[in-house]
Amino acid sequence: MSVQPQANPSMSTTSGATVRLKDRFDIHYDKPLPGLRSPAAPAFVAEDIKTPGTRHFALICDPKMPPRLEAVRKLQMLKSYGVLTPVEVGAVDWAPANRRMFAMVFEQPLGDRLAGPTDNAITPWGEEALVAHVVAPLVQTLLDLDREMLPHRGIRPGNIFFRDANRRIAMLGDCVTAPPGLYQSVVYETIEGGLAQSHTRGSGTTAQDLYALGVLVLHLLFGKLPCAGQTEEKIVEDKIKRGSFYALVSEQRVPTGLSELLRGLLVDDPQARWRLGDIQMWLDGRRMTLKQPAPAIRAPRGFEIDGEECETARHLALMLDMQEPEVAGRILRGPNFETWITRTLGDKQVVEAINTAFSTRSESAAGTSGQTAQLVSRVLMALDPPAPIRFRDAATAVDGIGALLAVTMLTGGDLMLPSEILSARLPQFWSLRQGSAKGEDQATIRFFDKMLRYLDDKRPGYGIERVAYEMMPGLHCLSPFIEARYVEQMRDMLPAIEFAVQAKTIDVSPIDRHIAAFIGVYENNVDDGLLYTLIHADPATRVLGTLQLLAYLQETYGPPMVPSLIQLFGQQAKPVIERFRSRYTRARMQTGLTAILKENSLRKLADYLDSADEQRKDAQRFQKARLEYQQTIKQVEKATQQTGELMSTAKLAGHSVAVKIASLISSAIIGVTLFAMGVL
Amino acid sequence: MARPPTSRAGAGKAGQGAKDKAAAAAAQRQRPAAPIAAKSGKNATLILAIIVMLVLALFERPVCMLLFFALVPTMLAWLVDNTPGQSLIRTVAPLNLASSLPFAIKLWHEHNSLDQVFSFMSGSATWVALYGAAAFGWMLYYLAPAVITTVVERRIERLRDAALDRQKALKDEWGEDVEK
Repeated sequence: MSVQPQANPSMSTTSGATVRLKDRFDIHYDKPLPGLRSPAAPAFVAEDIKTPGTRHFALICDPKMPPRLEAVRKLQMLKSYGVLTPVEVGAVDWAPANRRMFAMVFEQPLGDRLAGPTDNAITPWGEEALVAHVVAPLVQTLLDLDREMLPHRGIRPGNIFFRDANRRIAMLGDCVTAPPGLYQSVVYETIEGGLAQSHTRGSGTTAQDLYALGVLVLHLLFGKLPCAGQTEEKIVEDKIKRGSFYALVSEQRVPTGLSELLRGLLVDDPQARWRLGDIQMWLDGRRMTLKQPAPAIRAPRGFEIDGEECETARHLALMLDMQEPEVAGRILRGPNFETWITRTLGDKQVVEAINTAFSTRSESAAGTSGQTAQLVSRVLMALDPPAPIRFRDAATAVDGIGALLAVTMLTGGDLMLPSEILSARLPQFWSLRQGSAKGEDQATIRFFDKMLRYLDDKRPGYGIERVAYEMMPGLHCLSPFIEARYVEQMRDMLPAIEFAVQAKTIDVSPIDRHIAAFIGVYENNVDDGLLYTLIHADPATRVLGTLQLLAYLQETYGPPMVPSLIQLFGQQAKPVIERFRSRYTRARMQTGLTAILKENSLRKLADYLDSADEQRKDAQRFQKARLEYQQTIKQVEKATQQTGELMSTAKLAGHSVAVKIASLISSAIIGVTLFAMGVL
Repeated sequence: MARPPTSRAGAGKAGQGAKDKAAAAAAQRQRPAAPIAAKSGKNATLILAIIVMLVLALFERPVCMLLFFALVPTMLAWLVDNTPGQSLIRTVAPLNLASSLPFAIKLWHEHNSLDQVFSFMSGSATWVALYGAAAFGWMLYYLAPAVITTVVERRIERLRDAALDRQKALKDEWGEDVEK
């Protein structure tokens, strides 16, 4: 869809090679800053027009990757110097891309990056400098972020800056322009993160940031990326088989001073991993006792898949996931699997979970293959509960399903996959396997039950679109009509629709399922009934429903003038006016419409076309007219009947009249005769 | 006395004739009552007229003669009138009698003789006066229904046209649905 950039004073203005963001920042799109860019968000010089002399830069987000807007809000509240914090965010008319893009303006750090974004080999850091200039400042920042329950999920050398030119205080880089963990190397991810697709790793917790911090320490210490040269699958498999610490450290010698820290941070069990308090104490010089994670139960005899001996449930899950679902299904249903699980592995929790997985009813639109895929997915969750949900080609953290859905929509992928994950209640099954305290599982289950209800509801305002906007806050409206206008808040909706109508992108109904779902999520005052009218069988009701909805948006958010939309509704008013039964009322309405259209107000137009008083009057007059028509029918019938009877009745009446006239005349003659002849 | 067998046959025929009479009587009973009433009314009129004429013939023979000739249209009306209320007689007779009255008074007051009666009869003006009034009665009897029919028909036509016009106007404003 090609959309010409259009100036809109309420959002941003363009002038020359700059675009203005919220009347404060001029972003120079002819002045790129390659040193400050994020992997998919190029950086440009941003100028604060209210405070000249300050150094800012803008990151322009990839419209195919939803930004973390909730994280933006938290960062802006936090105001930490230890992490790049957006000063201002918003959509701008981005001329180079010929569309609107989401821009985030940051203050430029005084120091440069710790390493180039793609530099795997870097100058090794000394132990003391590493702790003093990198670990300590980053831990302080993570403490700040943890207070806001905001995992950074982007800790890697290429995303660390220095607050000072002397490179003495490290600070975290951008964590908001893309889904959490998207650009993290598998090395920097926990086993769970490494098993998930990059865009569906989810926000996770601070524990994942601490794991990444541990990998960062190793990386800086040795001057090269751990496990460099290995494939991602091999790295994850190594971590599973040997544990992250041994897989990452490999044959290298870890300095004694950092060994304790690294062992604490690279523990695979998040519960046993060091927490921020532990690191603070370590930084303060206290000697820590390492919590020993419970070792995974190992089977005395491995379960062989593709020549690989799987000794743990987690390793078996990994190997099963590498198979096609049909092959994995055959393995699961085979006698060896049951024997190995129940007798050889002997983990009661796993056995119980697998029994639950087998007994859970699978229903799939894809038939037997879909049911097998669901079974495989559930068994994988039973074997490896913390691992992401793995279903067919998808592998997603439970809090990454929103990103999976959003990115699938943005890239035009097959929505059946995320739909089936939700329909098969895989997130609920995953939550039940976690067994975490504080009722988090129940809250997650309730949330996904609600999403499933939305998914099954095919009315406008619901369906897969509603699920996407509910699960991915900050996702801009993906309606093909207005996607290029990057509408991420309600006040931008009507101007975008107006623009689409003007550009002839919309020529019939301005509200599609995406727009309805977006309104459903962000506008609590809009009644569901109004959304349902959008698919009403009666065209007039559809037009009026759409008009009422847009009139509400104009009243609430503006803008005051929407001439193209007004004209569109003017063209579509015919079926609405045709609803009036009286031809004279229709003619009057049509005549009055021209004057109403000139007023440029959707509310006035809606009130005019949807006048309850006018409709009531029309209905009442119609009833009266029907009664009157029936009366006229009776009158005509009576007249016809009277005409038929006229001959006989008129004869009788005529004779009666004749008798009376004769009597009168006779009386007159007699009277005159008697008088004239002198009798009287 | 023994009866011959034929008498039985005769008796049978007589029985059949009785049945026919009963059927005829029943059929007569089933006829409308109006003509019977009309006929009885006519008979009463006739009897009354004959009595009057007989009284007049006894005491006022010239007047009786005059009326006999003058009331010929009324007599004709009596013959042809079979309406229930004897409308024709009641229309013709008053006019016929009223037109005869001047001649009767004149006869009575002046020369109450048959010669005078014939003298009246010999004048064409007498016939015009007597029969003209009766003819007017006849004309009135036959024209009044036609006039009434025309007037009422026009009135009904006007009402029907107004109803049809209103129907058209209602359809014009509300469409075919207004019929439902």
